[in-house]
Amino acid sequence: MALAAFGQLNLEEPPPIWGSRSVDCFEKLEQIGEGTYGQVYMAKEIKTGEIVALKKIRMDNEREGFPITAIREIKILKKLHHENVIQLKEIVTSPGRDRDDQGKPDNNKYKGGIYMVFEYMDHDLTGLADRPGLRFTVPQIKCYMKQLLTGLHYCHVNQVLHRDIKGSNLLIDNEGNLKLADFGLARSFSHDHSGNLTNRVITLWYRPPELLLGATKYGPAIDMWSVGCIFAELLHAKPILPGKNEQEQLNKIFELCGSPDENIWPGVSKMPWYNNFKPARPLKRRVREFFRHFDRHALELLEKMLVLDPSQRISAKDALDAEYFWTDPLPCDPKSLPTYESSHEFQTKKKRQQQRQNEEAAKRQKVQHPPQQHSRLPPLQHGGQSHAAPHWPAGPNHPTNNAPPQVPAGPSHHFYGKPRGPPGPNRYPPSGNQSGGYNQSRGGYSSGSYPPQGRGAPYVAGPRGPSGGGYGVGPPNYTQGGQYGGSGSSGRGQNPRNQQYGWQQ
Amino acid sequence: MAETKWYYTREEIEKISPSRLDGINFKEETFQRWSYTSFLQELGQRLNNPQKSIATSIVLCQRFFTRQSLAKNDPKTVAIICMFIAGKVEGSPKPAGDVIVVSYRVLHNKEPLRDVFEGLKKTVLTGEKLVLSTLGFDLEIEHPYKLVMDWVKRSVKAEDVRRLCQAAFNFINDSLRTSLCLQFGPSQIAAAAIYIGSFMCKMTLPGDGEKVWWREFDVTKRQLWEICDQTLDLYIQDFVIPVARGDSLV
Repeated sequence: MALAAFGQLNLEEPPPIWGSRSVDCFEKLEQIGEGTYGQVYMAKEIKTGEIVALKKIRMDNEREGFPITAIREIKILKKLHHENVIQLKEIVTSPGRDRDDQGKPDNNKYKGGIYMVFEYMDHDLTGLADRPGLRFTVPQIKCYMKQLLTGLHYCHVNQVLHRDIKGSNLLIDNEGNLKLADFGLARSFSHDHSGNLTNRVITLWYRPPELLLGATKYGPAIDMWSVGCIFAELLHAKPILPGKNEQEQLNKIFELCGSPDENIWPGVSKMPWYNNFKPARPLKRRVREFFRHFDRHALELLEKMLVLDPSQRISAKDALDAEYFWTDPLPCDPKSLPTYESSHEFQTKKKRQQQRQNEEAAKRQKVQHPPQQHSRLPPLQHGGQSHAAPHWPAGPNHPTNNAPPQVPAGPSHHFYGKPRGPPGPNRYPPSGNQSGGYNQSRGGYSSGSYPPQGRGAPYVAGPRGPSGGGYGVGPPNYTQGGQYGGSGSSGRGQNPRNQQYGWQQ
Repeated sequence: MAETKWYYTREEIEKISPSRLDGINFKEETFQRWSYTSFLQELGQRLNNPQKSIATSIVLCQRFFTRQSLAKNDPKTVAIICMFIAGKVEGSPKPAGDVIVVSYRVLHNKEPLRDVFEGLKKTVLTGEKLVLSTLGFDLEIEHPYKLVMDWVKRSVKAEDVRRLCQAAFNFINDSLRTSLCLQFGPSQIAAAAIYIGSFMCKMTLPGDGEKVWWREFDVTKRQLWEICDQTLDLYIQDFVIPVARGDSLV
């Protein structure tokens, strides 16, 4: 055979063996995420029956072909293999339609979409925390925090900054495992070569002071600030720094952590935006005062995370050594955590089936072995089957929930960016913090990773209402997506992904 | 994700490549390899891309043709696409339009007409998916440069570092025109580059006797020789070498 002519490509055959498989290897079960970025589906691999999440990479409007952000995300995910980091299983392509617009046969196998295949996760942390009536226990919070720090430490050791740590990007499965997800803003960094990086990253409420002050050289400490915010949020049962814009965000930070000066943060006065944002009068650090209801070790650790000067902020590794994780009550075993009912009819059925099998297996085992004692199991830990929200021992600040009555199997279900039911009442006690007017789509698999398109601004202030009925009942209402996707008008740029990051570092 | 096999034996490359199965002989494929890698080096330099990005485009392109045939895919078009992808992979992206225009200049020594440009752009954007899925989205490519640099800095006198690195880098750049990147890992090629480089610079490398210096590169002496041999072959090939900028490359 002769050589191919100039411009000729083998577009009529599917990718060769070893290349990407076709999306037809999966059966889409239902759409579980919808955002301006594209769609996320729950799907079943036909050959193995395994349940996965398919995240479509948005390609239209991409004049520069396959998005560089997606390339970055794929490169990073392919090199990360850790039990606390979401696993990218493979990438599959859709051949697209076999007829063109005029109805003529079209054999080009490369017109369709490209999907990232992830392991399927049932919940995300924000979604779980939002469940009405649900309180995390102390061992449970320690367990999640430990996993979060372990996963993040792994990323940092592998020179990856996540750059969007927040509750909705922390996925949780029904075995209590927590995994970092959504590496759409993540970046490799190296210690020796530190070029300029964009400071328009991390969702506003979790964004550290150095980024808000314009730093373009930064490191793993930025993720640790976010971890501190999440930690406090778990203990406090509401977001601790819900700013509406950069200015307000910094004010809130300074009100809590004091205002920075050259003593506590050498070099701060040389930060690009320091003069625009420095507080009018010095403020005292009040972390201990604000969170005096936290236990001693929790407070001690939090103090080390919410340090203004990034160079003095605790690292993930050191945080794992904190007393907090080594004093009673100890973090529980993920497997001992309760499972939460999910809303999909399909999943419910499958789970019941499994539960039956487990029970039978357990019965058989019981005959052979005396039951094991799990000393740290929180009460009602096996309660996931018949009721969604186990009754957690009410903590000191049990949220008063003024949520509307829930569907019995109140789905915490998450958050692949699924528009969550009508913006409902806040899970938190009514307070000035509530900013429920904003829309957002969240979720680990989904968070519109790929520019260009805005997402509901300010991106951070989402309806924290029950994630409820949205898609537990009947087929999902896809048209809802518009309601959420189109809300970018109030965007003030808080959503890092509102910008064209395509060519930025 | 399934482990992907990206390394082949010399025999596999010679006898059972997809192009061979389509009746293209080894000599022709070797010439094409030389031709598209030279083209990529030239194109990358004209685009002011860093050498790392150029090297990535070359490895991507070579890997593509371990899974696809030259009879069905024009190597120059695939090369253009690989340069476009490599820019994004290595964080030094160039707009598709620029890559295409400069490619056209390198190949034809003139500007493309509007419809030719539009046609090429469409081909590149569709072809990008073909290349990415053929490669199974394996985009992280490690190169020998940094390994050489780190070792040389550690192991030779400060005044010799530059000279030895340059000689080794030249060898690495030349090796990219061969199928070595399909047979050996970056660490092994780095060792061979240092080995040859030290000859060129008339330098004696440290650590003789019991502990040979290349041990940390995970390479045997036999492999070292094999890599050097194959690269040196490049200099005695009897290709009728077309002028890099002329139409004859097409």
